[in-house]
Amino acid sequence: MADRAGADDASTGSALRRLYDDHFAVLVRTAFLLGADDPEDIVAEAFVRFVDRREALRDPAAAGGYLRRSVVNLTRNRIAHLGVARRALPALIDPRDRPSRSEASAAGHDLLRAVEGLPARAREVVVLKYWLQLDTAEIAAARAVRPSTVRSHLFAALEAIRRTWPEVGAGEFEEGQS
Amino acid sequence: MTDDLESHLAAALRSTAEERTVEDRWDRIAERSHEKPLARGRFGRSLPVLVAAAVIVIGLVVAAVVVTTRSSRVAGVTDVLVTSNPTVGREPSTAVSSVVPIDLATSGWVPGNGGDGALLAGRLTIDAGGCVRVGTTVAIWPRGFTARLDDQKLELLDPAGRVTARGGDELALGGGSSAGPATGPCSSVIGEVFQVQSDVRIVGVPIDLPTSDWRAGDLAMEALLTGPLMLGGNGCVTVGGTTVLWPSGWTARTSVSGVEILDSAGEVFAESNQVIEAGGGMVPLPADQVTSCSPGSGTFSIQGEITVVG
Repeated sequence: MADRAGADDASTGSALRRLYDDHFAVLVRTAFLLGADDPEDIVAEAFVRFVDRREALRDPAAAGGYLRRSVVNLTRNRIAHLGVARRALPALIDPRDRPSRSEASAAGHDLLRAVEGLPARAREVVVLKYWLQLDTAEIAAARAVRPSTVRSHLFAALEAIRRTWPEVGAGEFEEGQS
Repeated sequence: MTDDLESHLAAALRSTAEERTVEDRWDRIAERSHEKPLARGRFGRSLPVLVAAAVIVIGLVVAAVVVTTRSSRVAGVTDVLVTSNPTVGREPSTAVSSVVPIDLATSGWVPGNGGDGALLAGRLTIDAGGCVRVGTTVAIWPRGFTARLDDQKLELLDPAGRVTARGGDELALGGGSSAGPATGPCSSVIGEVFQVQSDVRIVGVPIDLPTSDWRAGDLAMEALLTGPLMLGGNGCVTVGGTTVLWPSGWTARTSVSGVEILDSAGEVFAESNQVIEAGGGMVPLPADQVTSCSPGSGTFSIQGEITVVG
């Protein structure tokens, strides 16, 4: 019995390590883009909680989805706890960087500023779609909402970004890219 | 244009994310995750179930003891518990009258009188001495309020005799504190009591919220509505005094502050007195959708982004 328990623990440990190698860095960057001030700690907490659902380790796709959802929820809770939701989420970019950037980079900064200004839920949809490249169903699963809600939030988010990022910004970006 | 925006957005996010260095946390994860199986031991996942079952059993035993004790202490209860047949005595439960009046501390305050602006929030309870409390605070109720135990469950009644709250309800009350002691069963209370000078509001009760069928992507009007979220005395939710058709799937419920609005995902979006900004326009309503909270004209349909701005 003890040998079997030891083998289970070893198997769990190696599966957890594989998940860590596959997902940790991406999830940290996701939490960072969502506005977390301590993304490594948030993702580490998600992994520790995941140990309670070790049966999901046998299905890597389900494991990724579980971790993603957990990180989104923990980040949202963290932001709410800090009392900064809808007011001053941590900046994606250091304002001191901007003068040294190219025009393309400056236009990119304008876009990120627009993302920072979004309500938390709209920002989640934008990050999950354009950073993690998730489809609507995957985003809905990560946020525990219906796909129609995702589409609604995405539409509103793009409208808001478009208002704060006029065509001149797009022109600068394209010139800088070429 | 949209495709350009989306591709630029993806590029900007990717660039920023990849510039972010990632600190290793494997040691911490491995250490903390290793502790969990040891803590669970051979009971594994059944341990929380066993603990929960034990808590429920203990809770039922304690509740039975409390109810028995309370029944014997509440003023006048003993007489009511005994039936007209003296041979039956106090033992048979089938002989117990189900409704027992409670001596409730009241003041002379009635709606329309002025009142203080303090807030008292908490669960409606009755202690072993028969003193009705909100949370741990003794409340002095408006004139005409009464209380009773109906089948051992506390009920608070307004002057018209309608049940306005039950034991365990979360209440939000306006009024102010005054020096004790209270009267009747609360006379032993030392310290301040709370004079209730408002309606009795139960927190968490759903409020009828008019919604529209408009969805993102539909044609939209571009007027802007800005104002504080309010719950009127008629039970209608307004923004800046204007009745609103909310997005499909949104709901509302009473809260300590008055009302809170929940989005289609069930998340609290805003609460009373927060300033809301929404795009949309005034729409006429078909006759079958006209209610006291959404009149046929003067209703603003939200058809765009909605945000809390203050």
